[in-house]
Amino acid sequence: MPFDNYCIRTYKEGDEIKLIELFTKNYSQYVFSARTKEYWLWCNKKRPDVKPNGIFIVENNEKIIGYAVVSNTGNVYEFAIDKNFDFTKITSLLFSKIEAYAKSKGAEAITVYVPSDSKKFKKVFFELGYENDGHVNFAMIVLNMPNLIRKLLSSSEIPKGWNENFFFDLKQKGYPLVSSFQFCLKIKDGKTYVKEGKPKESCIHITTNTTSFIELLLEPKKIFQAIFQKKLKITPSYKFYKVIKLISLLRLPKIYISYADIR
Amino acid sequence: MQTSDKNLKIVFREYKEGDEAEIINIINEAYDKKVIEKKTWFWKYKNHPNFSPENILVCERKGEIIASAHSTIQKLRFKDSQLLVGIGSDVVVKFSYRKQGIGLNLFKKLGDKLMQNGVSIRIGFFAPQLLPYYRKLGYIPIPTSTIIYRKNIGLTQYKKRILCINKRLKNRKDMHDVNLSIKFDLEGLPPFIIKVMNGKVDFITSKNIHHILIKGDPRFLKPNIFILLKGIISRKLRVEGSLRYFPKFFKIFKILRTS
Repeated sequence: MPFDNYCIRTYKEGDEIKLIELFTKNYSQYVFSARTKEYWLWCNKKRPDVKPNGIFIVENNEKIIGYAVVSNTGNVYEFAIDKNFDFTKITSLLFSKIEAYAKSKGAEAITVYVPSDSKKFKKVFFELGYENDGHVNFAMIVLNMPNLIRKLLSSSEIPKGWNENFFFDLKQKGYPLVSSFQFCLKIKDGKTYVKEGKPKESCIHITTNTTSFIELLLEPKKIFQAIFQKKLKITPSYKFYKVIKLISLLRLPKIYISYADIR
Repeated sequence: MQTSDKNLKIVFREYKEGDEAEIINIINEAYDKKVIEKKTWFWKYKNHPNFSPENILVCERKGEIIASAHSTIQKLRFKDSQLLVGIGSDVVVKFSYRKQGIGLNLFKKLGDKLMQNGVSIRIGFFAPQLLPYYRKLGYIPIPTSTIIYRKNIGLTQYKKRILCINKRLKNRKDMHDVNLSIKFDLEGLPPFIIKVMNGKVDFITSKNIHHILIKGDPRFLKPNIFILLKGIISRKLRVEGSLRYFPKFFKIFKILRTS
């Protein structure tokens, strides 16, 4: 059990390696922008509105256990606390420092981005007097669907012994920036192969449009709705359960956007 | 890269050294206010770890930059692997050249460039009011796992909102004889007084006499009457003062609610 011997200091050259480690460990369950030393320094320390004395580091017996990057305007760009320590206590300590700093710089508000599914964040920030200001939203267009499918499959576990061939025929009309895609997916002995173009062997045909397909990747349970609305056609239709199995493997994970990643 | 549109006699090309002043001007003109300074533009694009001149496209007509589009390439951590994403931003066209397809052309050309660089997804953070426009282009809104928490520590926002009701008070003859000072002592904020006198509202931060005091959690001080009542019932928000001032207070409160 760690001792409650916390002290707060400001950033010093070389801290970034430990801070990147802490951030990556803390948010490992989410998809987020990969932190390299160069990227971390750019999106935090080199920001025009961040000064080195706006980067607060919490230490316990000289070990870094938390940090926050605060701008002159009160934006908390990055914030992480070691899971093995008292989250509530350290957050309260850190944010009292942050608020004093932001007030001294003439900031009007403190804004912080945190994972939405975490109850501990919700509880602590409510106690600290913060209010929910909504979700961060963004919009996307897929430029290279076969490549995205490759990445999604590389991070999912394919059941052993599943051998199947799929052909995706994603047509798109009406949206100037959205492309059509045709590619084959071969699943053999737990391994996957994605190849652009039309199939040479018999396979399950999945015909839909690109935007509907992306919406399915976001919410696989909408597959029945898509079939009934004739937005998705599966041939042969009796193999629809295999497509459901595949789509659930291709589910797009939710992305955690740190404030530092937004310009 | 250099492509041209013969009808408009315009040229699309990559960014080159010296373009930044014109690009910054176009961005600020498009938003009708200074949204970006040279220092910020350099940090955002030129000093980005993955900067490449091909990530910024400009559209030129007779040597003058009339539009620009920016993107930065970022690696998204995807369990054990990484996925390249292109973040598009600051796509702006000079007012007199709008509605001629220049912006769309820039979007398309930038998308081609990103694809050539191995980018699979193109994303953008948009203001909610711009979302319908981007939907028409084919962008799909994605919910994230990120929530924003906010706490006010300054009074500027309150001051702005309160002073903006002055215009409405002028037209309210029934308010011309109201004379009331309401003090707000809210957690985390410096105390302030709203003084209504002769049909005019003042925002005072110095010590002054007050008739009614409102203190407690500022999160319950909302235009929504139910949130306000919830605050009062749970005693998170307290309203103190002589009962004789309350009819006047409700009168003012009705107007304040709309600010």
